[in-house]
Amino acid sequence: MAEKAAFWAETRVEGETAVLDLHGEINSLSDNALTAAYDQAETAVPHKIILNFAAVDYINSTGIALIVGLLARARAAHRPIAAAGLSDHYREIFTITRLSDFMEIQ
Amino acid sequence: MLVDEIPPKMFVTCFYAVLDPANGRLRYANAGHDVPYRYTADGVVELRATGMPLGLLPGMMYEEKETTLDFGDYVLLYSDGLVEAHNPEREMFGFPRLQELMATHANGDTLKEFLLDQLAAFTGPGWEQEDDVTLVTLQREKRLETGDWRSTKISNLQSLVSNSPIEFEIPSAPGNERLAMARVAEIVGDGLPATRLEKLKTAVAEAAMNAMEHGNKYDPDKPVSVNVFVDETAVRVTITDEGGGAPLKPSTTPDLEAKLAGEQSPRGWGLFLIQNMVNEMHIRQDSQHHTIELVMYRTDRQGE
Repeated sequence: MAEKAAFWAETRVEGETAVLDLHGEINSLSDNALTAAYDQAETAVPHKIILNFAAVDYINSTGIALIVGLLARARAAHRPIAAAGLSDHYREIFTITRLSDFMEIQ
Repeated sequence: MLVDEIPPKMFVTCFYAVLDPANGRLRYANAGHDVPYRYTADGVVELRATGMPLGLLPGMMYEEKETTLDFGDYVLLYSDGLVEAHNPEREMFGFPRLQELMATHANGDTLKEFLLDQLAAFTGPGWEQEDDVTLVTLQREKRLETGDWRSTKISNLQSLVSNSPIEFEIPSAPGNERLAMARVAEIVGDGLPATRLEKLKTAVAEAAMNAMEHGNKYDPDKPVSVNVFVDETAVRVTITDEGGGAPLKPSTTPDLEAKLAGEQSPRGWGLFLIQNMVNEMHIRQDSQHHTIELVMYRTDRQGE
């Protein structure tokens, strides 16, 4: 029996930084919720966006693609983007995929 | 070749089979050997294929047959020393007796001991062995239902090391790669250091997702078959779909700059990730299946 994907995101603004607190698993089913959270973060016109992965337990290759999409949007807006709360395993995946070359890993 | 060299009136029997452990498919031919038996839930059947013994006549052709072992089936290969053994009354052990005994014994792992006990009881004490008695069994593990997984945890890796691969299937549905990942992690347990197990889990999830999405098109009637084998040096996982024919795209390093510039799809990370997670990745395919084999060495020293 398939386990239903569970993902949600909350956006908070701290000064000039918008933080997206991500929860659950990031896969193809996370697209709408992730995009909506990012849209909401942009409305604050932050100088920087932080993706907080501390409560994320799974990211698959489609999830990597979604993060690439967010990174592309941030770069197009000349807005720095950072990743926080990654486990050692996903930190390594961000290195292998070179995402860490384009976003600060905190 | 053998015909030219073998003494007159001599010959060699041979049963030749190729098993695909990923799906239980067994292709076989027989050159005059005693017909092997296959135990199934519905009874014991012969694996019959026509062919003369080797070395008798030149240019012989051999019939090639194929079958698929179901979960729980086993095959017995044996030499004639078993069925041609005699008891003190000069009765022969015989094929029917063997077939009947097998029908009462569902466990291929313990069949050899069972048959040898039966043979000893049949011949009685002091029996002088008349010919060689060789027994080989080949069992396809019973399928594990997803609901049974937690109750079948293997806590002692040594028992896994010395046994056959553990096989299970997952239905093709979005998100089910996590079932494959969790099950493999449960089987491997502490057979890998934690960091290497995390990498293997990611590789398994990606390979299972590929198999379900691209191979089986998320057809719920086409499960993905997963085999896990642990030996002294490595954990090997094979993941097989039913989407053979079309070759898998070779893995290339994704061009992140091009993806960020919108010149390439942001997707296309699967095979790249797999390759970077495990020590070896092998892809096989035939007209019906793709199989990805993942090999993770059990210690860093062997591969990194």
